[in-house]
Amino acid sequence: MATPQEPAKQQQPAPEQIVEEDEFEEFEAEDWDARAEEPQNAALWEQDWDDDNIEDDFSQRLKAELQRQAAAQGSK
Amino acid sequence: MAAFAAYVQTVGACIARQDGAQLRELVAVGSVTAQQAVLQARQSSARWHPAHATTRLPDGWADFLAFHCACLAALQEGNRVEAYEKAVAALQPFLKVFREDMGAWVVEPMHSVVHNLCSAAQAADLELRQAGQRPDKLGDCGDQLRKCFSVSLQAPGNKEKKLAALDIVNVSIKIYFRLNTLRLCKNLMRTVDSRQFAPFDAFPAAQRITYKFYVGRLAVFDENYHEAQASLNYALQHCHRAAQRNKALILKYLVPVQLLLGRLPMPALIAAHRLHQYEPIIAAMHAGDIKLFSDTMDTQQFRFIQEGTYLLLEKLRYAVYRRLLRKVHAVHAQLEPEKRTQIPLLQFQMALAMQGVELDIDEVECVAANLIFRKYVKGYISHKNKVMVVAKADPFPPLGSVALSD
Repeated sequence: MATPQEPAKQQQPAPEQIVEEDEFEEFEAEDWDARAEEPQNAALWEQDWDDDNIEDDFSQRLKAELQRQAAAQGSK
Repeated sequence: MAAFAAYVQTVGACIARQDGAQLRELVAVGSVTAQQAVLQARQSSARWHPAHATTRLPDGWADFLAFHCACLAALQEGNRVEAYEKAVAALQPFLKVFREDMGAWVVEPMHSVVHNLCSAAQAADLELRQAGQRPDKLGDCGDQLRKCFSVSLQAPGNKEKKLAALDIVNVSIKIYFRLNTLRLCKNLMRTVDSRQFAPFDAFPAAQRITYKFYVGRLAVFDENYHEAQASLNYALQHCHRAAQRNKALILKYLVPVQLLLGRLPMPALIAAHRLHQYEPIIAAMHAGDIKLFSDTMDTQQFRFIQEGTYLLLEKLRYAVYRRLLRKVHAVHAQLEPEKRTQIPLLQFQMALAMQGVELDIDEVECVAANLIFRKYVKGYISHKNKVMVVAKADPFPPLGSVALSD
């Protein structure tokens, strides 16, 4: 026999979204063109950093240390 | 008119004028109109059954809507496993009308049917898990989606029905990621690349970008970094500018891939998407600071593991060693130009010690050998003389040209 249901039970909300940390979200819009994209910016990535420049502090310290050792060996 | 009858009538009108977009909204699990209609109908009579109210709809649609509303009713009652079963039951009649209708408008409601199935399956698995039972609905959902996929690919009567396929692929891949059955993605992706599939640019941006994001992530798993770079770059470039969270997610994988290929993100990019976890890694890459790199990998270990980037980042270790060796080489070349191609391993060892990394000479030789083996450095080791002899021309080939798989 059918019985009237508890109001509390009827008000149960739809299941909560199970969103994982890594889940790609649904986009609000379905389609768009270039105007909705970030303007093209070539300067997002640096490519010519891997050079032989030794102006940095560490390289200078290394150089000084190698020179010191060479001098110490020379004076022996 | 009662809300439910009105809802059915609106659905019927959409079908009659082939309004796919509105029907898609009306039959989504999240439709407020549908949820209210079902709730009111259930409240008005405990004996209410949706099948009685949908009989006026065209053949196939009537069954589909009845099962779909039964799914909503089950969700409202908190019976998520039952809701999933109803969603599966709704699929059968829907695929029938999708096959038989000659119009491309049925592509729109297919999106809802697919997403409904997936979210009902997730909800059902949560319920099963809480009850201590085996959560097997998401796996079943993957099987159901294969039916949707093949009907869409066949596109009976209208080639444009193929346009439902990419969304189905995306939802399927999401499921495979959840279930950790990534090998199943391969066949789907092969089909997307095949001539059987509609041209990629014919699909809406949201679907294209979602797809490229997952292709990029899979390429990372396969250590196919150039493909990962291309796919994730595509996703980043074409992402809607308002979708900041998705952008940050794309960058989370793109940044390590770019680092591996020798491209450093600009500080503005890091700041804009709050990717500060990568800052010390980038600084270590730039300076050849193996101490900073190791310390960061140690202190951020759990975060990177959780984010799924730890193994990827760990591959940067040799790029950092190489950067340091390059500095040693440059300093050495300045001090002893005539012996520039012969780097004493002792100097490399000393540079490491200056950073606070104490390695004995055998360990240093081992690092050097690895750098050569991985083609990060062109040269050979004179074990007897404890010297690394590097090529005269281009001893440090660009990172992007180095094969990275091992």
